[in-house]
Amino acid sequence: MSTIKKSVFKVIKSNIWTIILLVFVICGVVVLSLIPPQILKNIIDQSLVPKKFDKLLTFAFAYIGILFLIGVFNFFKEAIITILGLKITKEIRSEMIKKLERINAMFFSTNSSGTVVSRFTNDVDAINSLFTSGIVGMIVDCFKIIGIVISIWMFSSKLGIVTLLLLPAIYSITRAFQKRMLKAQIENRILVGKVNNHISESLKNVQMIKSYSKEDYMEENYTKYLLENYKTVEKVNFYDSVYSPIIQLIRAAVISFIVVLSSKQLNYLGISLGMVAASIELISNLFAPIESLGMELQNIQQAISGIKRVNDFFDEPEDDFKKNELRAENIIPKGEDVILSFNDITFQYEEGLDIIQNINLVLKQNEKVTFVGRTGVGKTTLFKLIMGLLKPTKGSITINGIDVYDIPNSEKRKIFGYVDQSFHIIKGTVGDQISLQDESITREQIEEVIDFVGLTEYVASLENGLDTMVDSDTLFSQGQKQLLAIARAIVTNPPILLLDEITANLDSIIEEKIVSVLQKTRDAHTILSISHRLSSMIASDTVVILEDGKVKNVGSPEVLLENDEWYRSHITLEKLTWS
Amino acid sequence: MSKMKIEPMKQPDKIVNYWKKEKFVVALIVIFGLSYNITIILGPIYQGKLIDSIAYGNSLSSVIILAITYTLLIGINQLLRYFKRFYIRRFANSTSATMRLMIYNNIMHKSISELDDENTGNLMTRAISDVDLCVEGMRKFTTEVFDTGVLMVTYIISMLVYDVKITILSIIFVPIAMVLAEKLKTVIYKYSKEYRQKSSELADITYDAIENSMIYRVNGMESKNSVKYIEELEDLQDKAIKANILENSMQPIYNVIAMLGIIIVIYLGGTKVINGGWTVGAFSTYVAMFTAMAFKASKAAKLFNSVQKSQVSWKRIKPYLEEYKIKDTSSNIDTSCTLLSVKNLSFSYEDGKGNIIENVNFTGSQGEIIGVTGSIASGKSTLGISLLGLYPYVGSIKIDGKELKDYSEYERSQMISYLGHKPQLLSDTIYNNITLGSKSDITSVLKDVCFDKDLEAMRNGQNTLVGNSGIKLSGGQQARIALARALNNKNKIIILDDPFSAVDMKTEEKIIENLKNNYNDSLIILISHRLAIFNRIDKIILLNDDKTVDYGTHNELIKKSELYSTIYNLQNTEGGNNDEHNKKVSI
Repeated sequence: MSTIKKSVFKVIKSNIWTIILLVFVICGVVVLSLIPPQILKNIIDQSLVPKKFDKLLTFAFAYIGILFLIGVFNFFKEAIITILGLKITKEIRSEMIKKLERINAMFFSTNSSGTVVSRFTNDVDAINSLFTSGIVGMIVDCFKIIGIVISIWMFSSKLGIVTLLLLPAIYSITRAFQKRMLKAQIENRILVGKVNNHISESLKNVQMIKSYSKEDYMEENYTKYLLENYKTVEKVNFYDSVYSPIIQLIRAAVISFIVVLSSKQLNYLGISLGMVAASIELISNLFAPIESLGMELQNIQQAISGIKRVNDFFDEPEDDFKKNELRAENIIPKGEDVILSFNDITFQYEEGLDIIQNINLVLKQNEKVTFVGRTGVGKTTLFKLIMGLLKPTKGSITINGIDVYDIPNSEKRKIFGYVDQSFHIIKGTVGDQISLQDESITREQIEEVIDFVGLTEYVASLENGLDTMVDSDTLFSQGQKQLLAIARAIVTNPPILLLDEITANLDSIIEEKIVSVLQKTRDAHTILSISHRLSSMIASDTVVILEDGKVKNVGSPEVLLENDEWYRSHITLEKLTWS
Repeated sequence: MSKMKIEPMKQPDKIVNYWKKEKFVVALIVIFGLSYNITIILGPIYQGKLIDSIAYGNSLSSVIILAITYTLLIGINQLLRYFKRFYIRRFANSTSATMRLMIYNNIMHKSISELDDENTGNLMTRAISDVDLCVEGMRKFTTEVFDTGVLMVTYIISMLVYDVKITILSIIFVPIAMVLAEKLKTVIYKYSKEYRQKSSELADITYDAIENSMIYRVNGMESKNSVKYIEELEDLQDKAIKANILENSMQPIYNVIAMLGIIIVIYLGGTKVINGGWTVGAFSTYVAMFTAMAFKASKAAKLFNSVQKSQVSWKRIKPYLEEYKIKDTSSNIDTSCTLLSVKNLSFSYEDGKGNIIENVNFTGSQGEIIGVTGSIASGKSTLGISLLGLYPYVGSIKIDGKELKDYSEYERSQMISYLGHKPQLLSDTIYNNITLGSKSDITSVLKDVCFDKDLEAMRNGQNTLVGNSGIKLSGGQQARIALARALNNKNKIIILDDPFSAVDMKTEEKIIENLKNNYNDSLIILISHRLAIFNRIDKIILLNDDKTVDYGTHNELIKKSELYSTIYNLQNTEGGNNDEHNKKVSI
C-alpha cells in the first residue's frame, strides 16, 4: 500500500467518530435542503390557494428554522472537512520529512530544492483538495442530485422521468464546456510560462541586449508573446462567459416546459400549484451540483498527477540501514590514532559510468592531504563517500577498520568537520549558524569557537550578539561566512576535517586570514582538502592528483615537483597567478 | 472583433487611466452591465406570471405564449449577461497585457547600474504576480459595481413596487448581516494572518531543510529537525483550522441572518395573497427576489477583501509604471575606417576605490587583432569593459578622433560588439540568437566560428532551439554561437573576452585564422589567458600585477617580458589536453 493511502487511512482510523459525524452531517444537509421547496408547496397548497391564515406563521417559522439548520449543518460539514483535510496534509508531510531523512544523498544532486519544496507544498495541497473538494464534494453532490430526483418523483413519476432524462443532457453539455475550457487553460498556461520566462531571460541577458541596442527586438518578442497570451485568454474568457448563461437558458426552457405540461387544459402531470412552484425550485437547485460534479472530476484528474509525484518521492531509493549501536567514542577512542583508509573504491552514479575508479589510499593520524584535479573528476563525490553519505559501488572506506557507511548520521559530527565552498545560512540566530540548533552544544562551546576563528568582536558588535537573527544575506561578508563555516565544522572538535574548495570565491587577503585560522587546527587534525589550485593553502604532506576518477599520481609536493611534469608547469603558472 | 494589438499608454501610473484607455470596452461593459442587471427582475416576475397562469386556468395557447415569452426574455437577459461577462474579462485581459508591456519597457530602459542595484529577479517575479492580483481586483471591482450595486438597487426598487411595508420590514436584517460580516472580518483577519504567517514560516523551514540537507545530514541533525518539523506542522494545523473555519464556514450563518426577513415575507406576503392583494405568482416572485438579494448581501464582505488586496499590489507595481520610453537611434558614425586610440586610460568601478587598470596606452585600426593578457585579477576583463563606455573613465578613449563618452549609447552599440564570459543565449533558435531580429544570412558567419560541422548534426539546422540559456548545446557550442552573434553584428570594434575557454585548441586556431581573413573591416580586441595563438596576432597588451603595462608584438614581448615568455613556453608544454567536452563545466 502506498504511503499516501496509509496516511489517509491512519487519519480515518484515529478520527472514526469525526467521520461518522461527517456522514451524519452530509446526510443532514442533503435531506434538509430538500425541505424548503416542500414548505413552499405547503404554503401555496394549504394556505394561499384555500385562503387559510392559521398555518401561515407556522410555515414561516418552519422555513427560516430549516434554513437555520441547513446553515448549522453546512457549517459543521465545512469545518469537519477542513479539519480532516488538514490532518491528512499534516500526516503526509510528516511522512515526507521522515523520508527525506533516509533518502539517498544522490537525490539532492539530481533535484533542485525548488522542485522538492513544491512536492511538500503544492503537491500535498493538491492531495488535500482531492480529498476535501474532490471526493467528499462528489459524494455530497451525488446525494443532492439523488435527493432532488426522489423529491420530484414523489410529486409526479412523469416529472421524475423528465428530470432523469435531463440529467445526462445537462451533464454532457457541462462536460463538453469544461473540457474545452481546460484545453484552452492548458494552452494558456504554457504561454504564461513563455511570457514570464521572457522577463527573466531579458534580465539575465540585459548586458548583451543593451550592448547590441536590442531593447526593441526584445520588446517586440515580448509583445508577440503577450499577444499570443491575450488570444488564448480570450478563448478561455469566451467559454467562461458563455457557459453560465447557457445553463440559465436551459433552466428557463425546462421551467416553461413544466408549466405548459401542468396547465389546466393539458394537466398531463396532474400536480397541484404548490407542487409546480416546488418543482421549479427543485429543478433550479439541480444545476449547481451537476456543474460542480464536472469540476470535481476535473480536480481529481489534476490532483492525481500530484499524488503520482508524491508517490515517486516516497519511492526514491533510501540509504541502507546504519549500525545504530556504533558510537563515535568507540570508533575513535580518546588518545588513539585515526587511520582513514580507502580500500579499492569505485563509484558510479549510473551503470558503466565510473566517477571514481579503484582508489586505494591510507591516511595516517594528522596527515594533511590535498586532492587536486580538473573540475568534474569526482573530488566532491569522494568527500561524500568519505563521510558515508554515498555508498561505494565497490570497495569501502574505513576509519580504524569501521566502514564509514555504517556509522549513523547522528555520530558523524563528532568524527568529521566539513566545510563547503559556500556557507549555507540556516534559519536562526548567529549562534544557531554554528550549533545548527543542536542542544548538546553549549553556549560556551560556541563562544569559544567564535573566538577561535576571530569573529568575537564582530559578533559582539551585532544588535543582540550571538542571538541576533540572521535574516539578511549581507549581515556577514563572504570571508566572515567562510569563517563561520569553519567554526560550524570544528565546534565539536572532530578529528577529521574536510575542506572543499573553501577559498574558491574569496580574494587573497581574506584567504590569508582563513589560512591562518586553519593553521591553528593543524596539530590535532587529519585534514583533507580539495582544491583546483595545486598550492593548497595548508602545506600538505601528500598531494593526490586525480584524473578521470583515478589517482594519476600521489606523493609529497617535493616529489611531485620532481617527477610530474603537469604538476610542475601548473604550479609555476599558479605562482605567477596565471590560472 | 478585438483589435489584437498591445500598445503602450500614457500616464500609466494613474489607475483610472486603464479604464479610460479601454473606452470602447468600458462603454460596452456599462451598457451590458446596466441592461443585464435591470432586466434580471424579469426572471422572477415572469416565473410568477407562469404560476398564475396555472392558478387561474388560462387557456393553453396563452400559457404557451407566456412560456415562450419567458424563455425568450431569459434568453435576451442571459445574452446581455454573456456580453457583460465577456467584455469585463476582455478589459482585464488587455489591462494586464498593457501593464506588463509598460513594466517591461520600464525595466529594459533602466541603466545597467540601476539594474545592478535592484534585486531584479525577485522583484520581477513579484511584479508579475502583482499585476495578476491587481488586475483581478480591478475586474472584480468593475463587475461588482453592476452585479452588486445595480442589482441590489434594482431588486429593492421592484420589491418596493410590490409592497413597501413588507420590503422595509424584511430587508432590515440584510444590513445586520453585512455589519456582522464586517465586524467579524477583523477577528477572521487576525486568525488568517497568524495562519498565513505560520504557513510562510513553514515554507521557509521546508526550504531550509531541503536546501541545507547535506549540512544537516553531515552534522547528524536531520532526525532532530524532523521532530521539530512535525511539531511545527502540528502548530500550523491548529492555526489553519481556526482560520479556515472562521473564513469559510461563516457564510451560511450570514446567509441565515440576512434571510431572517423571510418570516415577514411569508407571513405578511401570504396574508396579502389570502386577502386578494397579491396573486400566488406575485408571492413567488417576491420570495425569489428576496432570496437572491439576501444571498448577494451575505457575499459582500468577500468582495471588499479582494479589492483591498489589489490595492496593496497596485502600490508595489506603481514604481515601475512610468512613461513609455524609446531609445534614440539617430547616429553619426564613420563607417569607412576605424581608428582607436587609447591614452593614459585608468579605470575603477566606483569613485574612490583603487584603479583596476592604470595608464594604458595603445592604438589600433581596422583589420588588426589586438590581444590582451595578464594574470588573474590583473584587469583584463576590466580593460574590455572600460572600452564599452558604460562606466566613467579617466584618460582618453578616442574612436575616429572623437571621445568615446561623447558618443550616444546607441552610437556606441553600433560601433562596438562585445562578447563577455557568459554566452548570454536566449531560449530561441540558433538563427534568432545570432541575428537578434535583423534578417541576414548567417551561413558564412557560422562557418567562420566553425559551427558548420555541428550544424550538420542538427536536424533543424539553423532553426534548432538552443533551450533555456542554451542548455541544449555544449559549452563550446554556446561560446561559438555567442561569437557568431558578435561577428554577425560586424561592428567597427569587436571585443572578445575569453571566448575560447570552452573551445578546444584546434578550433580556436581555426577561428582566429577566419577572423584574420574575413573581418578586415573590424578591429578585434581579444582578451585571453591562453597565449598559444598570440604569435599570430598583431599586437599584445600585457597587464602586469604591479599595474605596469607592456605593449608590443609577440616577438617583442617574448624578448622584453620574462613573464610573457615564461607563460608562453609553459602553456606550450602543458597544451594538448584541452579538448572540448572535458571543459564543458568550466564556464
